[in-house]
Amino acid sequence: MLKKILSDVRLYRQNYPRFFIFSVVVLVLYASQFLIKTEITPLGYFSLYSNRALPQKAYYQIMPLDTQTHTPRNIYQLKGTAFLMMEILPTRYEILANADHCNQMNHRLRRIGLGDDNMVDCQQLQNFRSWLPVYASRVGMDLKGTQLMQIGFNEGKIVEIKHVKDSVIFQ
Amino acid sequence: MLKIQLFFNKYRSDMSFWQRLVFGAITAALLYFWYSGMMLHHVWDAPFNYKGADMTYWLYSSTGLTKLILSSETSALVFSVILIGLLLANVIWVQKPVLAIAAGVFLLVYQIQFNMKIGYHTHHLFGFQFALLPFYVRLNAFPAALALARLLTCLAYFFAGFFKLYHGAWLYTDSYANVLENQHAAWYYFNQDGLRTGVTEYIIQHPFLGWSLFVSAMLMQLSFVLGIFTRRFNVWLALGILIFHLMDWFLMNLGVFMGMTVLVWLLLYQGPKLSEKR
Repeated sequence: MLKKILSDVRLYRQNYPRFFIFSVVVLVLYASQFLIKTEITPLGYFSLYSNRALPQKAYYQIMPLDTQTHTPRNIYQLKGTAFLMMEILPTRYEILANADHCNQMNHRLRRIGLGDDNMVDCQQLQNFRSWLPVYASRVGMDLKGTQLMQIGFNEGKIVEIKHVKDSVIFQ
Repeated sequence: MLKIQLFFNKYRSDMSFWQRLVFGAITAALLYFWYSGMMLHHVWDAPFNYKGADMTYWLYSSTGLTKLILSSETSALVFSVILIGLLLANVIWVQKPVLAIAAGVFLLVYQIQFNMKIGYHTHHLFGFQFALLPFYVRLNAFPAALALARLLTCLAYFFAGFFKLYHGAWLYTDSYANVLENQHAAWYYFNQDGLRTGVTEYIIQHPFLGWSLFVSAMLMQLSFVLGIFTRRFNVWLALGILIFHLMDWFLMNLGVFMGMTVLVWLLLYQGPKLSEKR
């Protein structure tokens, strides 16, 4: 088996010398990024859900909550996969708002002697709450009369409603 | 039966057929993303500018392309139209590497820019890049590009299985049931009935069934190590990709990853072997 692989690699190098170099560059780039763990490359793509998930009393999701009825707006009625955007955007807002310089991976950058020290990303993130209704209207959802809240669900019921932790970016 | 096999074999080795199918499928996927509010002109003014620790994003950021493409909603819309237009052009005119590269570059820019503007480096588009790689080269280098694309695909799926094995979620029978509970917590609030609710709730109530599904997916992904060494099991691996993403859509409500199934062409195409220089 090993002999065959080596022979294939040799043929690859002989028959396609330029493409062989390109392939080596791509694979080395992937491997280096993978080894120093600076980011999740496609090699680690499905590593999501690979850790043990524990049962929770409440499963939280940041959603627009109607301030009159105290019920969340139904993002799952949106067209196509727009609901995913309405799940991802508020979640990422909270994560990045609480991250070092609004970069979740800054600790990894610092580990290799780099670091993201820009102030612009956090300043821009302060506009998120006013931008989300603009985006929502583009996908057909009116967020008038709602407030972004962290809602805890369990077995199809709301068990807790909390404020989104974003005060850190306004300090 | 033989006639059906001959029919499939004829198309399995027809590169033009595959190019039209692959570019057509990616065009359809992007039109669906457009419909779902996932193009650059939908997020052009988002307050995110997330680069993370990925050198690709930092390099892209230094080019100044963001200012050019996202200077207004109109410029972002023009970009979206050009991207779709280039993909469609590759459906019409096949075996034009320059045209394919242009579409691939626009697709890559879209992927990086979109991820920056939503504040999250999603991976539902990298499969498109792998699938398009063989079309970027002239015919004489086609087998080599196909081999690299196959290798990257097999590595991506194999490592997905490897991480599942390494991180140990499979050691706990209730883990996948808890994943489902978390994934659908808000969905259940709005959708008390329906097929997805019924099936996933049944799995949550029967954790061993969820564990079996999780382990099956892990083993299927680990089996992609075979694809690195031999082409003998390619049809089965292609079937594995299809089933995995269908289940991902149905059980996890992650239909956004269905576009990844375009990768099956790399495994189903019956072209010359690496040793047969064209």
